[in-house]
Amino acid sequence: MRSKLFHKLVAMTLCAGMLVGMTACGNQPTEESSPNEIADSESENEGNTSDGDLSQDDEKISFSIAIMNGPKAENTWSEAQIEEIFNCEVELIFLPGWEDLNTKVNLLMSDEAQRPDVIWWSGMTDEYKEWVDSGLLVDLVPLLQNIEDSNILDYYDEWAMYPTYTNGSIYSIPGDVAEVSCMGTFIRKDWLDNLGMQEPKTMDEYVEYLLACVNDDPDQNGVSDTYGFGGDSGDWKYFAPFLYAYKADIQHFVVGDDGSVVHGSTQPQVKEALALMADLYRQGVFEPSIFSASEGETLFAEGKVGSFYRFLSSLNPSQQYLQSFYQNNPNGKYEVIEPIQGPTGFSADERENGYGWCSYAITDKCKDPQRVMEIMDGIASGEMFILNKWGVEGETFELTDEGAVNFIVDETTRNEMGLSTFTGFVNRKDMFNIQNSQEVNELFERAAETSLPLQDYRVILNSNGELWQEYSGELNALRDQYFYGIIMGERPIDDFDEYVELFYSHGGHEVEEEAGLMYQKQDEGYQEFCQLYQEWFQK
Amino acid sequence: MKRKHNFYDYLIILVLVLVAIIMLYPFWHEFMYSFSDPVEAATGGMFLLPRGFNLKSYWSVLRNQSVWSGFKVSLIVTIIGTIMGVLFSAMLAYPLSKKDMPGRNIFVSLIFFTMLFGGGMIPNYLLVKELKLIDTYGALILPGLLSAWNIFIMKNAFSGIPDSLEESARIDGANDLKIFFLIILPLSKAVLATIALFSAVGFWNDYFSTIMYIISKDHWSLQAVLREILSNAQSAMSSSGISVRAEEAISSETVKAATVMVATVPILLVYPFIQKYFIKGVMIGSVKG
Amino acid sequence: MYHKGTSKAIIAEAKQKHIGTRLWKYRYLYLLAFPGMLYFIIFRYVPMYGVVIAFQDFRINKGIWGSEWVGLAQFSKLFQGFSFPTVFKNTVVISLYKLIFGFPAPIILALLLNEVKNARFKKVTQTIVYLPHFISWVILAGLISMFLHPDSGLINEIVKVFNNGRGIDFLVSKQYFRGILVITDIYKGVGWGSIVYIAAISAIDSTVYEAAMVDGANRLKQMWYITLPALKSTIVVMLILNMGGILNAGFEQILLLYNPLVYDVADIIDTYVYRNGIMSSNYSLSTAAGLFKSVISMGLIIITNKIAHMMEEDGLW
Repeated sequence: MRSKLFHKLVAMTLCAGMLVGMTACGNQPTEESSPNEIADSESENEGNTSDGDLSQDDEKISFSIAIMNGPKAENTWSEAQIEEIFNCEVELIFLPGWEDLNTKVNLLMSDEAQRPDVIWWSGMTDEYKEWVDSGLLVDLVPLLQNIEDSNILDYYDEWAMYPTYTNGSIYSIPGDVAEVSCMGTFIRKDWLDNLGMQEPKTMDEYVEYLLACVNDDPDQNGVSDTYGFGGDSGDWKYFAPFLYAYKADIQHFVVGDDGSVVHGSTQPQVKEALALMADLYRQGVFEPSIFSASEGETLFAEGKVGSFYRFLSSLNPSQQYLQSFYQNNPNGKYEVIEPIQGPTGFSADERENGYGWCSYAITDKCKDPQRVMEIMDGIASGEMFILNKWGVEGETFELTDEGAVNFIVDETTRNEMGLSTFTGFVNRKDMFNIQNSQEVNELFERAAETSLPLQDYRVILNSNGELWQEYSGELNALRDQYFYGIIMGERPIDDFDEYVELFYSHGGHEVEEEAGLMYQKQDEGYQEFCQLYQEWFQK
Repeated sequence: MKRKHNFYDYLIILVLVLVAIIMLYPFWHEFMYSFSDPVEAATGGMFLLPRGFNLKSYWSVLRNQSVWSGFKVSLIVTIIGTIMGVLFSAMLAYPLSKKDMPGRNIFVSLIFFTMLFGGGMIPNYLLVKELKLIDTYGALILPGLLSAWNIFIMKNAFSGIPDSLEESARIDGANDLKIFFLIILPLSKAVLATIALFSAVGFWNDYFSTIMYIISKDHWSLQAVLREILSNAQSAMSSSGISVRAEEAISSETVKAATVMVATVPILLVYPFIQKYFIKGVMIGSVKG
Repeated sequence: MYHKGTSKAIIAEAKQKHIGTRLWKYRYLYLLAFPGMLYFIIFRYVPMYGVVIAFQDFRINKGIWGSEWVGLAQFSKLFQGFSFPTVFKNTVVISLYKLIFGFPAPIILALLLNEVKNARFKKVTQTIVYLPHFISWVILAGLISMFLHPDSGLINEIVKVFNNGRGIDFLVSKQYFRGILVITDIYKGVGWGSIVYIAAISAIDSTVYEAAMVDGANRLKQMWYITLPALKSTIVVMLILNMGGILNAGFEQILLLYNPLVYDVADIIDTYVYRNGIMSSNYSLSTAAGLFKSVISMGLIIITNKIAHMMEEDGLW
């Protein structure tokens, strides 16, 4: 199930450096994969699969496709590659920026004249169900069944496909499923050395390090201008080192001590975590703007903060902010440590749910869904992914000794070529994701494991309950108000109990009950789905 | 009649200079940022001068086809929209400034009502669709052509024109059309320039019409292109409850700043041009002449 | 003066006739108004049926005629939220602050600029002060938090001098947050807002000033007795128009600047609806909130207009 993705991550590190020549399913190994050769193998593939409709192969098919990723430029090299390889003509319908995305998708889907053949969206789980109910989306199961060795089915497991399961079938494909865990606790290795300290493992050691960062001039510049902990504001996951060490998962439903589903923010251990954070705040550990409008990237580049909870990919050498950090701190070094152990010995890194955060589907406007599905499946293959995202080795990129991509053309040229345009249609995180350096790959691998304790504790729901949608806005605001207030010393720690009371008197019981029922039903539904999935695809 | 500068003059100048410096900073910041090296600029902070001066960001923006096509679309839409908007607004505002015109209050109330109540996104979309305007320049021009706000400002300005001017023209046998086009409009250059500015800025800064009504990229307005480039996946996703890492930005921050400059400077240049209509004594001159 | 009844009838008859001729007399004015009115009917009134969304559980795929009617459910959802009273109060208070401090600001700026004698300096200053209008809130918000940073921000460098070396964390402080909203709002809008007044001042007959100067009126007196009265009608119109937006306390600005610590003083109807409706593109809830705001604004505008009439000003109508 979920561990499959993890295995792929392992495989990725093993194979890093010798990937480009390989094909996704290993059925047609070629040494040098030029676009044309891929084209040959793809059309062979199609020839094998849709015997009955072979005649279509020569016909040029044209279809429209909603595009969110990439530079959103027309008539690019990337587009030409797709058109040539799959013998098709694609009309790209560019979606607007993220703030306006849902509006545009809603309008496109509601207007029959404008609906594209392939639609792409992010979130919008309710709308997805409505589209299926109103018959706007094509049932993908028969289409996928006709594709032999489907790249999509090979890449995703049942767990990732489960949220697409609606009305007894599959109507969408996840566009991008994040690595199971992609964040970690960053510390300054050079500061540790300057301070003569060991890598912190327990909360006591971590707190000692953070305090030293504030008080003992870790960068040895003679000025007290450093902080212990900083980062982005606006999401509690950036405070993970403090929260998760206490097993405080305040943004999700969790499995309570008695096995029932409760909201993580109401659990008694949260109070301990908050008390610690309030204490640290009083001692000036936190970079002050973390509670209002801080920009983690800038702080990361500046290098005046001892610890962050950040995305692992920020350690990729190609990252601008990391380059900027090295420029400002020639001797500086960031290191990601294993999650801090709390008083009970519990430790965990942030974990993703393993579901797609964006999806695509074929709409009823499509004249030849089978053919379009085949093309989309082809785009999902490993070498097409590399071609779409990075281009051709030796021409647009080269591989570093570590096996990571190093572009040899500049940003402007890449954007002109339209690289990344098609990465929203199965954004692979397996061995074909050659973005990451060896170091980062190993961190991903480790985080997949260190985040496991959270998986057993957290309740993952594949959609939002109706009551949750109604109450969550106010409940989250309540939590944030109280918790921020406690940390910043505006409220006594005992106000936590007041919060718990308020939580339950303002719909907390209802949402917990709903989540419990959904969790149970989801579990049954998942079993049912897995069975169906086996039948459909005999995997 | 020249007076010597006294203490108050210097005080006023001092205050205004301070205000101007504070007001200039954000613009200056973006301007200097856009000339900086992306790696050196990444630490943020104040930008009084560029860090690691280079023109790469502008080179990148100017090679972006979307910026050029957006520029063309915005220019066309702004020019046509402003001319039409100012003309129709003035034509409507003038009768409304006539207190004794029968039905005036009904007209005013009807227009006033639209300031407060609107149908919202969906009916507007359906209307534009029915008018067969989807994916055309018309969809970028018409929905925002007239605004109650502009009309009321114009109406107020027209009311300030002395009746005596019109009366004398009427005695000479001019009808209302003639009076409007030959006397009122030339006398109202200041307010026409103001509304032209408001209208032009409105059209230039409009991105939402593109989001709503435009499909093909070569009809996107410049602001929509800009907004797309500036759009922050991370914050949009976390605010809608999706918690994952967004893909790496397609454009670096300095390119974003350069795009902001390219999209903003053209419309800023309009103001100095219309300032010449804000000079005192225009009315007197034209009446005498 | 003989029989009241007959005289009334005669007057009425005369009026009737009069109306016919009056309409004809104004035919060219109607002709002028026609395209504009037609525009308003088509582009503003035709789509107005969309307000029914506020009384529905609107689903975009079902459309307006296919969505479920829920009566006043969206409104009760809005009003019954336990933080709604706070949110409503904040909306009104922030708007009022912005009106009280923000409304006179462009007038004062226009008057100041009017006092500048050097034409080039005046033009350059005018152009500079209107620049912030073109910088988006996203960029401004970043700069604001930079300048207000509790440790390294420029403002706090100054505060520290007077506050024993301690900075103030303005953005998380309930005391200061509304002040920041008002100041930054003025900052962004004052130059742009002053254009209307600058244009209106330019319409003042300059001989009036010359005459006043001959009479020995100093500049303060000129400003008080000539410039301000000439601006009065513009001020009244702008005030009434501003009342229309009174419940729009500044969604984007607040959304980008606020944080949970200042919800108590900064959460407004728009941000509240945004947080509560975001999960499922809730068009109905936001339409209901919009309708609620419009009704209140309409009341305020009508009252303001009445007051304007009492002060013998034209007002809007």
